[in-house]
Amino acid sequence: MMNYIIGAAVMFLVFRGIKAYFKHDSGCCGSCAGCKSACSMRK
Amino acid sequence: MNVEAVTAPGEEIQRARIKNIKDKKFTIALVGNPNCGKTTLFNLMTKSREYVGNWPGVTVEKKVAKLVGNDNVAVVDLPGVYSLSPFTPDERVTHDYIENENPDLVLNIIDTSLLERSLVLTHAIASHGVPMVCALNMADIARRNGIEVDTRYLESVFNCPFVQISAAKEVGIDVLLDTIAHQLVERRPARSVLPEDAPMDDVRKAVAEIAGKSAVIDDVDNFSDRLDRIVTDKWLAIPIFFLVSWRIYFLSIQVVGEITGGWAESAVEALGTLITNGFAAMGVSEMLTSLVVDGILGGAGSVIIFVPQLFVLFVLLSVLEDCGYMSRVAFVMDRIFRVFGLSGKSFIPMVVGTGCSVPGIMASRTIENKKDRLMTVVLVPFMPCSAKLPVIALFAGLMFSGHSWVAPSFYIMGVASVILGGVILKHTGFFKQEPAPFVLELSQYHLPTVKNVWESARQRTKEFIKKVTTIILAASAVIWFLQYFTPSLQVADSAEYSMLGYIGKFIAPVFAPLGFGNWQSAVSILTGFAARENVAASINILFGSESAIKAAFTQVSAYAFCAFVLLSSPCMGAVAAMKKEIGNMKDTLLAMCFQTGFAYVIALVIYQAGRLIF
Repeated sequence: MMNYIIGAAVMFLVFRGIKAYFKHDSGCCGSCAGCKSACSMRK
Repeated sequence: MNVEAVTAPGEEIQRARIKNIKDKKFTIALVGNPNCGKTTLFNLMTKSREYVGNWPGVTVEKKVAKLVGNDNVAVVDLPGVYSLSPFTPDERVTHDYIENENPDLVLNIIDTSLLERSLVLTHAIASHGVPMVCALNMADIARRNGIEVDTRYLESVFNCPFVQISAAKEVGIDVLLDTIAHQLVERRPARSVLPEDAPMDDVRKAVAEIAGKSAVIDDVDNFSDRLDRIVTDKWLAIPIFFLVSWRIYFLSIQVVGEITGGWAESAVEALGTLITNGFAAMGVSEMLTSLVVDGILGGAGSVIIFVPQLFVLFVLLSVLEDCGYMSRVAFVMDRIFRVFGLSGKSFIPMVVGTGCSVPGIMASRTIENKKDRLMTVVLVPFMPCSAKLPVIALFAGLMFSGHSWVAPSFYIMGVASVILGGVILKHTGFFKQEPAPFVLELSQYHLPTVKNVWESARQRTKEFIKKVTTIILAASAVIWFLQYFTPSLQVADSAEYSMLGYIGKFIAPVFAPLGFGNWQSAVSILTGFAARENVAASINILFGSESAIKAAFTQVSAYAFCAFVLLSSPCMGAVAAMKKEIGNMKDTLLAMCFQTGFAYVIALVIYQAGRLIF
């Protein structure tokens, strides 16, 4: 049971990271200075 | 200084509380010369936390936020301009906004010490007949330098209110807001001194006359002038710059590293032991334990321990930026850059690039000359951004303990590579052109405000932590997966026979002449293309222990490795920004090849020459 719980938590963190990466790669993570500049440019 | 002291001439203005404006939506555009304090005032008016720097060109795009206490009023921060005739992409943003968006009010921010030059822009805005309020910023510094401004006279000339403020010290802001509220209701159009199409020479003459009549200037030899004579001196300027850079990088990377490195590593190790024991007690599988402890904690955990060093570095850099020293460095660099056919204007984006290459690349928009601008885009990633610092800090602590020159030398290497890379690019057909003249207004030195320094360091540190706990964490798990399993998805007996091992061994020979021909280093460099912090994380995961890293590198090969990481093609985020500025993929790929080729040659020279010497 613990394997499933910890495995799910790790998967959640990993997918969160992958999502952040693709957002960052397209200039949209919304938290880093680069993305903030890129987002304001698109507005 | 009290508020009344700086606002006395504007006291007769009727005041309406800006919070009471509720019946209509309004837009206020912040317009002014570069480095007059627009973003500081914008942050104050909107409680935003936009990046502030004491040099021109910090804002290259418009930013919009709601006014504090009144959602009906939008405040727009525009890039600094000297006139409304657009030459550079950032000037076009301001020009197009004023021309096409019809803001309800223009808030013209003026550096009181530079009244004559600033009033040229005031005249240009006034000629559009929009309602305007002029904020005479840094009134306290001007007064200290013997400048007294007759705001009543200026109000009569331009038919709009002038309010003396100090945005950095938050003085006069209430009066300014009340004046804005009054203007939003009254909508009194500003009046220009000459017709809109008057020749520029006539405008300058008229504005000089107005500035002469409105300001009384005591010729005081102030502190800034005295200090500038030393820090921009022909012979002293460069040694001072090197000394300052050396102290900053030495203090943050090495001194702080020695203090915090030990306990931070121990804390991560203790956490690893705790998780291992806890998981064992709970019956968690060995594979999952390895993923969490060796993969995630070994990767992301080994990068997060550099936070204290980076925070101190960010604080020290913010102090330098905020006090005005960095604009002097750009001025000094212009002398050197010009010898090699470059413009000092390229140095400002490089200062910005020490935080992250992406805003650095975007800051190149302030350069009018297209070829100089594109060249700056290619050269900015040579500077050591915050993501490259964990690699430098890792090797400086591990391989060069007690050598104070190591960490600062990479900053110097970044600047030297910009010059060398620039010379190479200038001598190719595409970039061959005389460098554009560099005009930089050296603003007055001022004590850095705790708020600005704290905010800047906090923001940069927060971004770093967020990146490590999301992107680097995920990358660490992927790296662990690829080095735990074989290509046929069996658990690998040794990482050497894992998927990553095979990939690494395939590309490692390329790096053998540079002194790091092992598969772990090759893979680390590859993962660094996704995000540079990955290099430190990968090194830690793939080698597994400090002793293994020490055994795989000599001091010379470690130095060459760091040089390659510093100078080779940047992460994908920065490449995307490069593509945006360059405009097409083909030239972006060429730029990446140039950067990586340049890094390869430098690392090769370091290793081969170092091997002969040491």
